[in-house]
Amino acid sequence: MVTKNRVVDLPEELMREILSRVSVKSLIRFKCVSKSWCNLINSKDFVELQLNKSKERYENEIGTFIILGATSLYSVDLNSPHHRSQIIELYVPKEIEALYPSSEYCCFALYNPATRAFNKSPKLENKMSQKEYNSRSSDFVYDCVADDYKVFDFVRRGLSKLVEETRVYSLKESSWKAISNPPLRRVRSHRSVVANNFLHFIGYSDDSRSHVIIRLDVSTQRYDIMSLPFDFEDICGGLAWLRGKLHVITYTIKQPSYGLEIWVFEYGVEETWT
Amino acid sequence: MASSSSSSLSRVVVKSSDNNLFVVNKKVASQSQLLKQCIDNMEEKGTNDVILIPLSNVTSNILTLVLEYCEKHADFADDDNNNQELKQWDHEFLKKFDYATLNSLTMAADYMVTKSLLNLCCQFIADSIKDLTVQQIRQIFDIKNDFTPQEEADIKNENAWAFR
Repeated sequence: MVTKNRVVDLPEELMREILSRVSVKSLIRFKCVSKSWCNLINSKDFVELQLNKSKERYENEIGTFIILGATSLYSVDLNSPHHRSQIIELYVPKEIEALYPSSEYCCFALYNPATRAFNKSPKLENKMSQKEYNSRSSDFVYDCVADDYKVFDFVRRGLSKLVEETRVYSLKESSWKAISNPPLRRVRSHRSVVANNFLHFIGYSDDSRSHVIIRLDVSTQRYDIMSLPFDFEDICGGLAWLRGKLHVITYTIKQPSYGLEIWVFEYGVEETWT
Repeated sequence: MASSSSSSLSRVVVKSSDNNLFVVNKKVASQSQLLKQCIDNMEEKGTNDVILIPLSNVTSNILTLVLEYCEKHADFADDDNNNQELKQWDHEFLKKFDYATLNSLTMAADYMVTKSLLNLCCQFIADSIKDLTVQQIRQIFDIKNDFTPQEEADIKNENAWAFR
Protein backbone atom coordinates (compact mmCIF):
# COMPACT_ATOMS: atom_id res chain seq x y z
CA MET A 1 0.00 0.00 0.00
CA VAL A 2 1.11 3.53 -0.73
CA THR A 3 2.09 5.16 2.53
CA LYS A 4 2.42 8.76 1.43
CA ASN A 5 -1.15 9.27 0.35
CA ARG A 6 -2.51 12.71 0.99
CA VAL A 7 -4.83 12.55 3.96
CA VAL A 8 -8.36 13.33 2.88
CA ASP A 9 -10.35 15.44 5.29
CA LEU A 10 -13.08 13.35 6.77
CA PRO A 11 -16.44 15.11 6.82
CA GLU A 12 -17.53 16.12 10.31
CA GLU A 13 -20.30 13.55 10.28
CA LEU A 14 -17.80 10.69 9.92
CA MET A 15 -15.38 12.22 12.41
CA ARG A 16 -18.29 12.23 14.87
CA GLU A 17 -18.89 8.54 14.22
CA ILE A 18 -15.25 7.75 14.90
CA LEU A 19 -14.87 9.94 17.98
CA SER A 20 -18.12 8.66 19.49
CA ARG A 21 -16.34 5.30 19.82
CA VAL A 22 -13.48 6.75 21.87
CA SER A 23 -13.43 6.82 25.68
CA VAL A 24 -14.32 9.94 27.64
CA LYS A 25 -10.79 10.32 28.95
CA SER A 26 -9.33 10.40 25.43
CA LEU A 27 -12.04 12.79 24.27
CA ILE A 28 -11.22 15.24 27.02
CA ARG A 29 -7.61 15.21 25.86
CA PHE A 30 -8.69 15.62 22.23
CA LYS A 31 -10.48 18.87 23.05
CA CYS A 32 -7.03 20.38 22.67
CA VAL A 33 -6.69 19.31 19.04
CA SER A 34 -8.52 22.26 17.51
CA LYS A 35 -11.46 24.57 18.09
CA SER A 36 -13.74 22.55 15.86
CA TRP A 37 -12.87 19.31 17.68
CA CYS A 38 -13.44 21.04 21.00
CA ASN A 39 -16.86 22.31 19.90
CA LEU A 40 -17.79 18.92 18.51
CA ILE A 41 -16.80 17.07 21.68
CA ASN A 42 -18.63 19.58 23.88
CA SER A 43 -21.84 19.57 21.84
CA LYS A 44 -24.93 18.02 23.39
CA ASP A 45 -25.72 15.85 20.36
CA PHE A 46 -22.25 14.38 20.43
CA VAL A 47 -22.38 13.66 24.15
CA GLU A 48 -25.63 11.74 23.61
CA LEU A 49 -24.20 9.83 20.65
CA GLN A 50 -21.12 8.87 22.63
CA LEU A 51 -23.24 7.78 25.58
CA ASN A 52 -25.42 5.56 23.41
CA LYS A 53 -22.40 4.02 21.72
CA SER A 54 -20.77 3.12 25.02
CA LYS A 55 -24.06 1.74 26.35
CA GLU A 56 -24.20 -0.57 23.32
CA ARG A 57 -20.64 -1.63 23.81
CA TYR A 58 -20.86 -2.29 27.53
CA GLU A 59 -24.35 -3.74 27.46
CA ASN A 60 -23.25 -7.12 28.71
CA GLU A 61 -20.75 -5.89 31.21
CA ILE A 62 -21.39 -5.37 34.85
CA GLY A 63 -20.12 -1.85 35.22
CA THR A 64 -18.18 0.18 37.65
CA PHE A 65 -18.78 0.80 41.31
CA ILE A 66 -18.10 4.16 42.82
CA ILE A 67 -17.20 3.93 46.46
CA LEU A 68 -17.32 6.90 48.72
CA GLY A 69 -14.49 6.75 51.20
CA ALA A 70 -13.93 8.99 54.15
CA THR A 71 -12.13 11.64 52.16
CA SER A 72 -12.11 10.44 48.58
CA LEU A 73 -13.92 8.54 45.90
CA TYR A 74 -12.77 5.23 44.48
CA SER A 75 -13.91 3.46 41.38
CA VAL A 76 -13.87 -0.30 41.01
CA ASP A 77 -14.12 -1.87 37.59
CA LEU A 78 -16.25 -4.97 38.10
CA ASN A 79 -15.37 -6.35 34.68
CA SER A 80 -11.74 -6.72 35.56
CA PRO A 81 -10.81 -10.18 36.77
CA HIS A 82 -8.65 -8.70 39.50
CA HIS A 83 -10.92 -6.23 41.22
CA ARG A 84 -8.32 -5.24 43.69
CA SER A 85 -5.85 -4.00 41.13
CA GLN A 86 -8.55 -1.97 39.42
CA ILE A 87 -9.44 0.24 42.34
CA ILE A 88 -8.64 3.72 41.22
CA GLU A 89 -8.70 6.74 43.41
CA LEU A 90 -10.63 9.47 41.66
CA TYR A 91 -9.50 13.00 41.73
CA VAL A 92 -11.82 15.11 43.85
CA PRO A 93 -11.70 18.84 43.33
CA LYS A 94 -10.52 20.89 46.28
CA GLU A 95 -13.80 22.78 46.24
CA ILE A 96 -15.71 19.61 47.08
CA GLU A 97 -13.41 18.70 49.91
CA ALA A 98 -14.13 22.08 51.41
CA LEU A 99 -17.87 21.45 51.50
CA TYR A 100 -18.42 20.71 55.15
CA PRO A 101 -22.01 21.04 56.22
CA SER A 102 -22.75 23.71 58.75
CA SER A 103 -25.81 24.36 60.88
CA GLU A 104 -26.81 27.36 58.79
CA TYR A 105 -26.73 25.89 55.37
CA CYS A 106 -25.86 22.88 53.36
CA CYS A 107 -24.58 22.48 49.88
CA PHE A 108 -24.70 19.67 47.35
CA ALA A 109 -22.04 18.78 44.85
CA LEU A 110 -22.86 16.75 41.77
CA TYR A 111 -19.84 14.95 40.47
CA ASN A 112 -19.47 13.11 37.19
CA PRO A 113 -16.75 10.50 37.62
CA ALA A 114 -16.38 9.95 33.87
CA THR A 115 -15.62 13.53 32.93
CA ARG A 116 -14.62 14.54 36.47
CA ALA A 117 -16.72 17.60 36.05
CA PHE A 118 -18.51 18.79 39.13
CA ASN A 119 -21.27 21.21 39.90
CA LYS A 120 -21.85 22.83 43.24
CA SER A 121 -25.36 23.83 44.20
CA PRO A 122 -25.98 27.23 45.75
CA LYS A 123 -26.17 27.21 49.52
CA LEU A 124 -29.38 25.83 50.91
CA GLU A 125 -30.32 27.79 54.01
CA ASN A 126 -31.82 25.91 56.91
CA LYS A 127 -35.00 27.79 57.70
CA MET A 128 -35.93 25.75 60.71
CA SER A 129 -34.53 26.61 64.07
CA GLN A 130 -30.89 25.73 64.20
CA LYS A 131 -31.03 24.66 67.80
CA GLU A 132 -33.36 21.82 67.04
CA TYR A 133 -32.08 18.61 65.70
CA ASN A 134 -33.18 18.26 62.11
CA SER A 135 -32.81 15.24 59.93
CA ARG A 136 -32.68 15.36 56.19
CA SER A 137 -32.80 12.91 53.37
CA SER A 138 -31.97 13.69 49.79
CA ASP A 139 -32.59 12.01 46.50
CA PHE A 140 -30.66 12.53 43.30
CA VAL A 141 -32.82 11.89 40.24
CA TYR A 142 -32.78 12.30 36.50
CA ASP A 143 -35.92 13.98 35.15
CA CYS A 144 -36.33 12.47 31.68
CA VAL A 145 -39.13 14.88 30.74
CA ALA A 146 -37.09 18.01 31.34
CA ASP A 147 -33.76 16.28 30.59
CA ASP A 148 -32.47 17.66 33.86
CA TYR A 149 -30.81 16.33 36.98
CA LYS A 150 -32.48 17.19 40.25
CA VAL A 151 -31.82 16.84 43.94
CA PHE A 152 -34.85 16.60 46.22
CA ASP A 153 -34.12 17.57 49.77
CA PHE A 154 -36.55 16.63 52.57
CA VAL A 155 -36.07 18.02 56.06
CA ARG A 156 -37.86 16.73 59.14
CA ARG A 157 -37.97 18.45 62.46
CA GLY A 158 -36.40 16.43 65.22
CA LEU A 159 -37.51 12.85 65.26
CA SER A 160 -40.86 13.62 63.63
CA LYS A 161 -41.71 11.61 60.59
CA LEU A 162 -43.48 14.48 58.92
CA VAL A 163 -41.44 16.31 56.32
CA GLU A 164 -41.71 20.02 57.00
CA GLU A 165 -39.53 21.44 54.34
CA THR A 166 -39.05 20.18 50.80
CA ARG A 167 -36.88 21.78 48.17
CA VAL A 168 -35.66 20.82 44.77
CA TYR A 169 -32.42 21.74 43.05
CA SER A 170 -32.32 21.77 39.28
CA LEU A 171 -28.94 21.38 37.62
CA LYS A 172 -30.17 23.23 34.53
CA GLU A 173 -31.49 26.21 36.43
CA SER A 174 -28.77 25.96 39.05
CA SER A 175 -31.15 27.05 41.77
CA TRP A 176 -33.23 25.75 44.66
CA LYS A 177 -36.98 25.98 44.76
CA ALA A 178 -39.37 25.20 47.61
CA ILE A 179 -42.08 22.72 46.72
CA SER A 180 -44.97 21.31 48.69
CA ASN A 181 -44.27 18.72 51.35
CA PRO A 182 -45.26 15.08 51.04
CA PRO A 183 -48.93 14.74 52.02
CA LEU A 184 -48.26 11.90 54.44
CA ARG A 185 -45.58 10.91 56.88
CA ARG A 186 -42.66 9.06 55.45
CA VAL A 187 -41.19 5.85 56.82
CA ARG A 188 -37.69 6.85 57.69
CA SER A 189 -35.78 3.66 57.38
CA HIS A 190 -36.48 2.90 53.72
CA ARG A 191 -34.65 4.07 50.70
CA SER A 192 -36.57 5.72 47.92
CA VAL A 193 -36.68 4.36 44.40
CA VAL A 194 -36.78 6.29 41.14
CA ALA A 195 -38.79 4.72 38.35
CA ASN A 196 -40.86 5.88 35.43
CA ASN A 197 -39.96 9.48 36.28
CA PHE A 198 -41.47 9.10 39.75
CA LEU A 199 -39.73 9.06 43.09
CA HIS A 200 -41.34 6.38 45.26
CA PHE A 201 -41.11 6.11 48.99
CA ILE A 202 -43.06 4.31 51.64
CA GLY A 203 -45.32 6.33 53.88
CA TYR A 204 -47.97 5.85 56.51
CA SER A 205 -51.62 6.10 55.63
CA ASP A 206 -53.82 8.78 57.24
CA ASP A 207 -54.78 6.64 60.18
CA SER A 208 -51.19 5.41 60.63
CA ARG A 209 -52.44 1.86 60.62
CA SER A 210 -51.18 0.80 57.24
CA HIS A 211 -48.64 1.71 54.62
CA VAL A 212 -48.87 3.35 51.23
CA ILE A 213 -46.42 4.36 48.57
CA ILE A 214 -46.04 8.10 48.12
CA ARG A 215 -45.13 8.99 44.58
CA LEU A 216 -43.56 12.25 43.57
CA ASP A 217 -43.59 13.11 39.88
CA VAL A 218 -40.08 14.49 39.48
CA SER A 219 -41.12 16.60 36.53
CA THR A 220 -44.31 18.28 37.79
CA GLN A 221 -43.36 17.88 41.47
CA ARG A 222 -46.85 16.65 42.35
CA TYR A 223 -47.53 13.87 44.79
CA ASP A 224 -49.95 11.04 44.61
CA ILE A 225 -50.60 7.98 46.70
CA MET A 226 -50.50 4.38 45.58
CA SER A 227 -52.28 2.07 47.92
CA LEU A 228 -50.77 -1.29 48.59
CA PRO A 229 -52.72 -4.47 48.00
CA PHE A 230 -51.99 -5.77 51.46
CA ASP A 231 -52.04 -4.51 54.93
CA PHE A 232 -49.72 -5.23 57.80
CA GLU A 233 -47.93 -3.50 60.56
CA ASP A 234 -44.50 -2.98 59.19
CA ILE A 235 -42.69 -3.18 55.93
CA CYS A 236 -39.26 -4.53 56.67
CA GLY A 237 -37.91 -5.03 53.20
CA GLY A 238 -38.51 -1.85 51.32
CA LEU A 239 -38.70 -0.92 47.66
CA ALA A 240 -36.65 -2.06 44.72
CA TRP A 241 -36.64 -1.44 41.00
CA LEU A 242 -35.74 -4.60 39.11
CA ARG A 243 -36.15 -5.50 35.45
CA GLY A 244 -38.47 -2.60 34.76
CA LYS A 245 -40.82 -3.41 37.62
CA LEU A 246 -41.38 -1.91 41.03
CA HIS A 247 -41.04 -4.44 43.84
CA VAL A 248 -42.22 -4.13 47.41
CA ILE A 249 -40.43 -6.62 49.56
CA THR A 250 -41.89 -7.47 52.91
CA TYR A 251 -41.23 -10.06 55.50
CA THR A 252 -42.48 -10.75 58.91
CA ILE A 253 -41.11 -12.92 61.64
CA LYS A 254 -44.35 -12.98 63.63
CA GLN A 255 -46.38 -16.17 63.70
CA PRO A 256 -48.47 -17.35 62.00
CA SER A 257 -47.71 -15.33 58.87
CA TYR A 258 -43.98 -15.93 59.10
CA GLY A 259 -42.40 -15.52 55.66
CA LEU A 260 -41.29 -13.29 52.82
CA GLU A 261 -43.60 -11.61 50.36
CA ILE A 262 -42.72 -9.77 47.21
CA TRP A 263 -45.31 -7.69 45.44
CA VAL A 264 -44.56 -6.54 41.92
CA PHE A 265 -45.99 -3.53 40.16
CA GLU A 266 -45.51 -3.12 36.45
CA TYR A 267 -45.85 0.30 34.89
CA GLY A 268 -47.58 0.67 31.58
CA VAL A 269 -49.10 -2.76 31.22
CA GLU A 270 -52.12 -3.03 33.47
CA GLU A 271 -50.78 -1.07 36.37
CA THR A 272 -51.86 -3.64 38.88
CA TRP A 273 -50.13 -5.44 41.65
CA THR A 274 -49.31 -9.09 41.30
CA MET B 1 -24.52 -20.08 -6.44
CA ALA B 2 -28.25 -19.94 -6.99
CA SER B 3 -29.27 -19.67 -10.62
CA SER B 4 -31.02 -16.43 -11.44
CA SER B 5 -34.31 -16.18 -13.27
CA SER B 6 -34.27 -14.59 -16.71
CA SER B 7 -35.56 -11.20 -15.51
CA SER B 8 -32.90 -10.70 -12.84
CA LEU B 9 -29.39 -9.45 -13.32
CA SER B 10 -26.44 -11.62 -12.40
CA ARG B 11 -23.75 -8.99 -12.54
CA VAL B 12 -23.23 -5.24 -12.79
CA VAL B 13 -20.41 -3.04 -13.98
CA VAL B 14 -19.17 -0.39 -11.56
CA LYS B 15 -17.12 2.56 -12.75
CA SER B 16 -14.59 4.30 -10.47
CA SER B 17 -13.97 8.06 -10.44
CA ASP B 18 -10.80 7.50 -12.54
CA ASN B 19 -12.85 5.63 -15.15
CA ASN B 20 -11.84 2.03 -14.45
CA LEU B 21 -14.50 -0.61 -14.88
CA PHE B 22 -15.15 -3.45 -12.41
CA VAL B 23 -17.43 -6.36 -13.14
CA VAL B 24 -19.14 -7.36 -9.92
CA ASN B 25 -21.52 -10.23 -9.35
CA LYS B 26 -24.85 -9.44 -7.80
CA LYS B 27 -24.33 -11.16 -4.46
CA VAL B 28 -21.13 -9.20 -3.89
CA ALA B 29 -22.63 -5.91 -5.07
CA SER B 30 -25.59 -6.40 -2.70
CA GLN B 31 -23.26 -5.84 0.26
CA SER B 32 -23.49 -2.17 -0.73
CA GLN B 33 -26.96 -0.74 -0.25
CA LEU B 34 -26.24 1.85 -2.95
CA LEU B 35 -25.45 -0.81 -5.57
CA LYS B 36 -28.28 -3.03 -4.36
CA GLN B 37 -30.74 -0.16 -4.77
CA CYS B 38 -29.56 0.41 -8.36
CA ILE B 39 -29.93 -3.31 -9.14
CA ASP B 40 -33.39 -3.49 -7.57
CA ASN B 41 -34.53 -0.44 -9.55
CA MET B 42 -33.34 -1.93 -12.82
CA GLU B 43 -34.93 -5.29 -12.08
CA GLU B 44 -38.24 -3.60 -11.39
CA LYS B 45 -38.08 -2.06 -14.84
CA GLY B 46 -37.46 -5.55 -16.23
CA THR B 47 -34.12 -4.73 -17.86
CA ASN B 48 -31.92 -7.64 -18.86
CA ASP B 49 -28.98 -5.51 -19.99
CA VAL B 50 -25.90 -5.32 -17.88
CA ILE B 51 -26.05 -1.98 -16.09
CA LEU B 52 -23.23 0.47 -15.50
CA ILE B 53 -23.08 2.22 -12.14
CA PRO B 54 -20.72 5.20 -12.01
CA LEU B 55 -19.25 6.01 -8.58
CA SER B 56 -17.92 9.52 -8.98
CA ASN B 57 -16.50 9.69 -5.41
CA VAL B 58 -14.46 6.50 -5.28
CA THR B 59 -11.03 5.95 -6.88
CA SER B 60 -10.09 2.54 -8.28
CA ASN B 61 -7.57 1.96 -5.47
CA ILE B 62 -10.24 2.33 -2.85
CA LEU B 63 -12.98 0.64 -4.88
CA THR B 64 -10.75 -2.45 -5.18
CA LEU B 65 -10.57 -2.59 -1.39
CA VAL B 66 -14.30 -2.08 -0.89
CA LEU B 67 -15.03 -4.86 -3.37
CA GLU B 68 -12.49 -7.16 -1.69
CA TYR B 69 -14.37 -6.61 1.56
CA CYS B 70 -17.76 -7.14 -0.09
CA GLU B 71 -16.58 -10.36 -1.74
CA LYS B 72 -15.40 -11.80 1.57
CA HIS B 73 -18.58 -10.79 3.34
CA ALA B 74 -20.80 -12.13 0.55
CA ASP B 75 -19.23 -15.55 1.17
CA PHE B 76 -20.31 -15.32 4.78
CA ALA B 77 -23.67 -13.68 4.06
CA ASP B 78 -25.65 -16.63 5.39
CA ASP B 79 -23.63 -16.98 8.59
CA ASP B 80 -24.39 -15.01 11.69
CA ASN B 81 -22.47 -11.82 12.26
CA ASN B 82 -20.37 -13.23 15.04
CA ASN B 83 -18.31 -15.51 12.87
CA GLN B 84 -14.86 -15.46 14.45
CA GLU B 85 -13.04 -16.26 11.23
CA LEU B 86 -14.67 -13.29 9.53
CA LYS B 87 -13.86 -10.99 12.45
CA GLN B 88 -10.25 -12.07 12.30
CA TRP B 89 -10.20 -11.45 8.55
CA ASP B 90 -11.72 -7.94 9.04
CA HIS B 91 -9.01 -7.05 11.49
CA GLU B 92 -6.17 -8.34 9.31
CA PHE B 93 -7.73 -6.55 6.33
CA LEU B 94 -7.70 -3.10 7.98
CA LYS B 95 -4.37 -3.56 9.75
CA LYS B 96 -2.50 -3.20 6.45
CA PHE B 97 -3.59 0.37 5.77
CA ASP B 98 -2.28 3.78 6.73
CA TYR B 99 -4.61 6.48 8.03
CA ALA B 100 -4.97 8.12 4.60
CA THR B 101 -6.28 4.87 3.15
CA LEU B 102 -8.47 4.19 6.17
CA ASN B 103 -10.05 7.62 5.88
CA SER B 104 -10.76 7.16 2.18
CA LEU B 105 -12.14 3.69 2.82
CA THR B 106 -14.42 5.06 5.53
CA MET B 107 -15.75 7.70 3.16
CA ALA B 108 -16.29 5.15 0.39
CA ALA B 109 -18.12 2.82 2.80
CA ASP B 110 -20.34 5.73 3.80
CA TYR B 111 -20.99 6.76 0.19
CA MET B 112 -21.69 3.21 -0.97
CA VAL B 113 -23.83 2.55 2.13
CA THR B 114 -21.90 -0.50 3.26
CA LYS B 115 -22.82 -0.21 6.87
CA SER B 116 -20.78 -3.05 8.31
CA LEU B 117 -17.61 -1.74 6.65
CA LEU B 118 -18.36 1.78 7.86
CA ASN B 119 -18.78 0.54 11.44
CA LEU B 120 -15.66 -1.55 11.15
CA CYS B 121 -13.55 1.38 9.89
CA CYS B 122 -14.87 3.80 12.51
CA GLN B 123 -14.21 1.36 15.33
CA PHE B 124 -10.78 0.49 13.98
CA ILE B 125 -9.73 4.14 13.68
CA ALA B 126 -11.19 4.93 17.11
CA ASP B 127 -9.27 2.06 18.72
CA SER B 128 -6.03 3.07 17.07
CA ILE B 129 -6.17 6.76 17.96
CA LYS B 130 -7.46 6.51 21.52
CA ASP B 131 -4.05 6.49 23.17
CA LEU B 132 -2.38 9.02 20.89
CA THR B 133 -1.24 12.46 21.96
CA VAL B 134 -2.88 15.64 20.74
CA GLN B 135 0.15 16.33 18.54
CA GLN B 136 -0.06 12.90 16.88
CA ILE B 137 -3.78 13.38 16.22
CA ARG B 138 -3.12 16.69 14.49
CA GLN B 139 -0.50 15.06 12.28
CA ILE B 140 -2.64 12.08 11.33
CA PHE B 141 -5.73 14.07 10.42
CA ASP B 142 -3.77 17.05 9.11
CA ILE B 143 -5.48 19.43 11.53
CA LYS B 144 -4.20 22.92 12.16
CA ASN B 145 -4.01 23.97 15.78
CA ASP B 146 -6.11 27.14 15.93
CA PHE B 147 -5.83 27.67 19.67
CA THR B 148 -3.58 30.35 21.10
CA PRO B 149 -0.93 28.85 23.43
CA GLN B 150 -2.85 30.35 26.35
CA GLU B 151 -6.18 28.78 25.33
CA GLU B 152 -4.53 25.40 24.86
CA ALA B 153 -2.82 25.62 28.25
CA ASP B 154 -6.16 26.51 29.88
CA ILE B 155 -7.89 23.41 28.53
CA LYS B 156 -4.94 21.28 29.61
CA ASN B 157 -4.95 22.71 33.12
CA GLU B 158 -8.67 22.26 33.55
CA ASN B 159 -8.41 18.61 32.60
CA ALA B 160 -4.91 17.75 33.72
CA TRP B 161 -5.92 14.22 34.80
CA ALA B 162 -6.75 13.24 31.20
CA PHE B 163 -3.20 14.06 30.05
CA ARG B 164 -1.43 11.89 32.58
